Amino acid sequence: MEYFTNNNLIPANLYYNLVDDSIYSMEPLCGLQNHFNPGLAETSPPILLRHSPNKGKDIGGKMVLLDAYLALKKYSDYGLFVHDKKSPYKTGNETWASNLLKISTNAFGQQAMAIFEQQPGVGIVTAVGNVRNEQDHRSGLFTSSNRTLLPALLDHYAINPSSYQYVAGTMFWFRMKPLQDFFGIHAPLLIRSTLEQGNVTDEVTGSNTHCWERLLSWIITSQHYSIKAI
Amino acid sequence: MLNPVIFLSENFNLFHYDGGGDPANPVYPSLLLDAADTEKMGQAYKFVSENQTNNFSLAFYLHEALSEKAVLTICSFLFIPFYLDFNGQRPLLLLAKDGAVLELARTKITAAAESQGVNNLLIHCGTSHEANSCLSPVAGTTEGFIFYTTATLVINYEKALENGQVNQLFYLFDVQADQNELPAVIAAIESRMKATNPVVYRLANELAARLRANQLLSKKYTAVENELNNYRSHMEIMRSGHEAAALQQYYDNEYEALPLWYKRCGHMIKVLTGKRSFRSLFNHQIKKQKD
Repeated sequence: MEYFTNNNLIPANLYYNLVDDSIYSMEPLCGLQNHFNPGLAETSPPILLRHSPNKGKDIGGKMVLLDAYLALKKYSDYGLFVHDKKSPYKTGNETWASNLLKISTNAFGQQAMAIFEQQPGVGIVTAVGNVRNEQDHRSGLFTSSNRTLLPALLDHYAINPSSYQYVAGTMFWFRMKPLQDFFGIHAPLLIRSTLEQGNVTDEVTGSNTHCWERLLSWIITSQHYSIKAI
Repeated sequence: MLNPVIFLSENFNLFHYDGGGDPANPVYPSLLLDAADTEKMGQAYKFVSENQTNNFSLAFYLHEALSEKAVLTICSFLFIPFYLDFNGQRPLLLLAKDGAVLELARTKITAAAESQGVNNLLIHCGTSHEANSCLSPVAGTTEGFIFYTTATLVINYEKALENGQVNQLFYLFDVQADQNELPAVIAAIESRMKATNPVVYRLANELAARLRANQLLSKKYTAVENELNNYRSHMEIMRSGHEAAALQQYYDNEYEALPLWYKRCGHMIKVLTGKRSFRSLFNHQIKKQKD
């Protein structure tokens, strides 16, 4: 919650999911508003709270919130995905998290909005260093441990991105419409039911959860939008 | 209060119940919806999301088999933080004329909830000819819950307490009186019991408190166990990718695999070429390599 105080962006609508079976969240969900700058109390955004078990890690949490967004019909033009990125088993995890989270600052947010308005072909904006390509440039094949799961998912959901670039870490600004259209057809909670329970990793074998890390970017890029890293 | 009371309401306006936030007076509203009317379910979801600030639960009347959309909407409700947590379980009431419809719905909802990671759904079923008019609970689902009307609540609550029934759900139909008076009504019953059977009353209170504490501890224990397992798997990942693991593997393959006599010949060669001290061949405590 500290990300939304001081110089960080205050969202128009904040959809906030808490993992309710984590030892770190075993306290009542109250006083969340107090985490915002008291001086901005009158202008602090409506907070739509949800709590859910750890299924599909941050992707599962995003599915719960997308489900709520669609059900409440408070549609917006743009969105921002942010979560408390940890990945403690990766070296350089703090640097990675820091690079991802800086997209929630006021300055970055304003840049992202300006890009969306001036460049209609851009669908995703994130920080430099966070964009990866799932496809090996020499062989043209998928290279990660998710290489066996991805083709089936792409086929099942009819997602055909022009390139296989994606935002690693799943934190980015995005145009809402492509996701709104996709999840209007494919219910987020149905997708969530396919995700793995608990803190799954893809260090050895692939997982649906990590596939969806890619697919969330590809849903947007398959609708003729590009990713811009700034 | 020794037993939570849930009163059913079809009216969104009546849903603005003042209480439900005080654990000492556990009276909660339950929104009764027609399971076939997914539009109204959507409106209810919106209403609860934007207005509800106290604990609530849901009840559904089923005319026919439950649709997938209805099942998903029920799952959506379960993620709302104010959905009632009763001893670590989330109560949900299903009503229908037909027991078979009830059983199918219960199976469907349980499976859907479990697929979302929600394993603590407490579904009760009751047969009824129309919504908000319950005739009888379905056999096999009555444990821990009791149906009453407002008229019969007082007598039956007293009987339940006399039989030692604490920490059980009371579903209340046809709420005639202002639901804000319910805590006072229940409190009056319990005051009488406290006066006539103080020891039983005190033990019942302690039992209820222990059950709540036990449930919370159990939840924390599971969470800590999961976190420990996470740390274990993280350490495995870090160990497997560590440079030292690659070095160890190289050492094992290139050196440890060699026969002992070959290694001893190598040690002698080291001594003869001055790379190792002679005494270190017989005493592991002496430094091997000469600088």
